[in-house]
Formats: sequence, structure tokens, C-alpha cells
Amino acid sequence: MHKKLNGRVLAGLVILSVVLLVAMLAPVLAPHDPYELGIPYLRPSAEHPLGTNDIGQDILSELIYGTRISLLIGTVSALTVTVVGTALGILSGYLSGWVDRVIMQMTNVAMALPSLPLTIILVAFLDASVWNIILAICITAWTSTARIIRSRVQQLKCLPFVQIERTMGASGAYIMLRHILPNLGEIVFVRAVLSVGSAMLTEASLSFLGLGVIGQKSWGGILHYAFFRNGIINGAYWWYVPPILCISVSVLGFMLLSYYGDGSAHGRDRKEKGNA
Amino acid sequence: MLEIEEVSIHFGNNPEVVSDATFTVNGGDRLAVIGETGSGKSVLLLAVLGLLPASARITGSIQLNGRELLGCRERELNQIRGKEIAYIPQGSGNGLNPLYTVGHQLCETIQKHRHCTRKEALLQAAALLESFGLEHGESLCRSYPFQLSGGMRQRVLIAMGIAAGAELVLADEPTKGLDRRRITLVEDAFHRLGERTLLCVTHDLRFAKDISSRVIVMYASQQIECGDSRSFFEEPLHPYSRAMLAALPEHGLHATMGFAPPRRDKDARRACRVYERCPWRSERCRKAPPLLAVGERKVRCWKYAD
Repeated sequence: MHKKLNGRVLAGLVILSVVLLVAMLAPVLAPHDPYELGIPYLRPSAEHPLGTNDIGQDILSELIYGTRISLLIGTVSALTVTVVGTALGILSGYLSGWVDRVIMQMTNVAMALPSLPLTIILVAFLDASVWNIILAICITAWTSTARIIRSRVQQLKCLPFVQIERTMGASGAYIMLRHILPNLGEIVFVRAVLSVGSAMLTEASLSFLGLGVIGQKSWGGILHYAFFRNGIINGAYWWYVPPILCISVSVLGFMLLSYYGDGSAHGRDRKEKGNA
Repeated sequence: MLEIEEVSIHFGNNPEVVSDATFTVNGGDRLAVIGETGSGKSVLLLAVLGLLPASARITGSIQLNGRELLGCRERELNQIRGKEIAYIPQGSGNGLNPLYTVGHQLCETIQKHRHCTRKEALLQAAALLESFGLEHGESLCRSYPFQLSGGMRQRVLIAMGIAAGAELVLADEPTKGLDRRRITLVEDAFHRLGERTLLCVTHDLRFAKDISSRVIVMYASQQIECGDSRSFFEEPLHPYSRAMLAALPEHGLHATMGFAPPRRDKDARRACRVYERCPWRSERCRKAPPLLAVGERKVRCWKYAD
């Protein structure tokens, strides 16, 4: 086995491949049109494997289509957050001085803001389109990536090879891009993967509060209707349990993937024990 | 070539780590700066390169071929570093970026300062490695730093330092962390530097003797002796230098006791800084001695004042 692909990472990869496939093949996989109205409150049956909601929409189909929005918002936000956080982290860690002070002040302010209420306010004021929701998620989510990258860059900066690059006349931009960034690879990856998980959770919370993308199915949105249209009070477990499971399992998939590169020591231990 | 005049360096409000360093490195010189850990020698090298942290305060003047380096802008320094001043760091550990091959890192420097294609740069890199006694330069270029031994890495670093063709080479304890046999290899590599001017900081006396033509001894932030290498190793003038050479195995391992005075001890630093350890000390040593000329050589000791 590749030393960086341990069991946890593989499990994560399997989960995420399934989620991705479902999202891509939604029209093929969904047994019904998720917007089609029918008989409300049907229990799970062969016709509707997960039953129907209060206006008779097929819940399995809703879930399958919901994968698309959750995954899209999760990955795009995470990508943005990671790019912004990494760039700011490298700049402030490497340049230090006033650049560092300005960026760190920004980070501190963004960290001190209560992120969920801020996001809610933003979404409430902006139109509830996919891009506005992504923007609202990103506005506070880059901070921890920036802090983590910054401290790692401060460490890297002091390593002899970076100093030596400077003694050979390499410019700051060159060192940051060609020598520091590649050495951050695994941290950036792990942060990105974890960011997807947390962005998906934020999206679910927003949708649950009714601030999600209007007119599109999402897991949080299904929960929203299950809650506000008495699905939970009426004991329609087939309505509210599946979206919770979907959110948890796919977030878990990303969490597992973040163990990439982490298991080499673990794997070696096992091998040594096997030999003994 | 390199003129250092009354250079003093301190960090923040702390006492000086280098006091009034004044010396000249002429073209073709091989100058070794000897001193115990903490005597300020490495800081001096970094000052020449303009790589001290922002908290450092430097006074005095450092001129390279008549051009003042102190107060130079970062962009100008980037042009000087590598091209006019080469730097060879301590070999142990992370001197090379672990993610790139040796050849890649050598080419980087070559291509920055000489305009040539990747292929030409690679050929030059391989030739450069071979000129330092590293065999199979080409396959070495394809290896990653972790595949090399400590002695090989140090020689790669030497090659990398001079890859851009600088005339002045600064080396910071190039033998640190290497065993005697590897040190011999590094000595050999230094002899291959040819006509280049060398300023090498070290606390390896045998290494200094082997590679240098002139010697400066630093003690507690001060230069205490300078002169040509041969007469220094035959007949050191300063009592500290004498004690230091007597501690070599071939001279009977007579170790000197004691330490340099702490930087915060102002009284001790106003007196001769070797006072506590000096066998010749007398009342006048309560006052700091100046750097006195003795023939061609200089020494900071009252004994030579008469």
C-alpha cells in the first residue's frame, strides 16, 4: 500500500467517491422528480424507498439532488477559503513586520466576529444565490487556515535552506512560491479537506434556518421543512433522519481524507510488530 | 576587497555581540575567524550578507569593492548575494530543500545569475559537483538531499554557494557536525576553491590551520588577535590564543578553565575580557587594552604595549 494511503484515508475516499458519483448521476439515480408533488406522508415503500414529505415529494430523490448543492457549496467555499488563507498566511509569516501586523489584525477581527450570526445576516441581506452563500461562508472561514499556515511558514523561514536561498540572491516572492509553498503541501491539503467539511456543515445550518439556496434541494433544506412543517413532531423519521445521516457521513468522509500523509508512522509500527 | 570598519552589532537593547570589528579581506586572502561559541563570529558573517533579523542594530561600515553594504536595499542586496558574495552554510541538516533534487537546486542558482538554458545549467551543475570530488555528478544531480551523506551534502552546499561565480566566499562553520574523515573531504573541497577569496568562520583549529592564510581570533565579541596563519599557529601572541592552541591534542590537551564574561557583566567587559582566564594578568588589565600592532600582526593585550 502507498505509505500515505492508510485505512482511514481509503475509507474516506470510498465515501467521497460514492457521494461524488451520486451528485454527478443524480438524474439517473433519482427514482422520481424531486419537485413532483404526490401523496403526502407516505411511509417508506418499494415505490418511495424513503417515503414522501408533507407535499408528497419523494425524499430519496430530494436527497440525491441535495448532494449536488451540498458538495458544490462545500468544495467551492473550501477552495476559496484555502487559497485566501494560504496566501495571507504565507505573506504574513514570511514578510513579518507591518504586513504581518495588518494581516493578523484582520484575522483577529474576523476571528472575534461570531461567524454564524454574521453569515446569517449576510445571507439575509444578499440574495440567497449559491454564490452569495459561498461568499458568506468564506468571509470568516479563512482565519484559522491563515493562522496555521502563518506559524508553519515562520518555522520554515528559519530553516537553513530558506536562508541559503536568500544568500544566493533569491527574491522573497521566488522563495515564497517555489520553496515555502511546496513545503506546505500537506498542511494546505488537510486544511482544505477539513474546510470542505465545515463549509458543508455551515451550509446545512443556513439551509436549516431557511436561508439556503431558494428553489434548490439541499440536505439542510430538507431538514428545514421537516422541522418547520411538523415532520419531526409527527414522527416522520424517514423525513428527518436520512438528511442528517447524509450530512454526517459525507463530512466524515472529508475528515477521514484529512488523515492523508498522517499514517506513515502508524503503518511502519504495524509492519515492525508483524515482523517481530 | 571586503573592508569591515568599526562594526558593532547589538540586538535590541542588549549589550553588543560584536564590538568594533575592523579588518580587511584582500583579494585572494583566505581568512579564518576563530572563536568559541557565542563570540560573535557568525553574526558578523550574517551582517556582511545583510541577513540579520530586523532587531539587529549595526554601526560602522562594511564595504565590498568600495561599495557600502550597510543600508543597502533588499533588491540591491539580492543582486550582490550569490553573484558577488557566496555563502556556505553549516552542513548539518536542512541546508537543502528536501523536496527538490540536488540538480534542481544547483540549476536554480546558476540560472538566476547566468543566463543559460536548463540543459546547460544541468551540465554545469554536474561538472561543478565533479570538480569538488563528487563522483557521478549527473546521477547525483538527480538525487534528493536525503539520499546523500553528511559529507556529500556539505560539498554540494559548497558547490551551490559558488555556483553563481562569486569571488568572495563566506563560510559559516562548514565542518560542524562532521567527523574527521568528512572534514578532510571538506578541506579538500576548500582547496579546490582556487583563487577565490575566503572568509571562513570556524571553531575547528585544525581545519583553520589547513585552509587559511590569515587568522582572526574573536573572544567575547572582540577581535583579540589577527595575523598570518603560519606565524599564528607557530607562535600565538595573545595568552588566550596560546591557551587555545595548547589545548589541541598534539600540544598535550592542556585545557583552559573558565568562561568568557557574561554579556551583562559591565565591569568585566570594561576590563580586558580575558582577565579571568589570563595567566599574565596584572593591575593594568583592569582597563581594556587596545588592538596593538606587533610587526605585521595585531593583538589586544597590554603585554605588548611596551
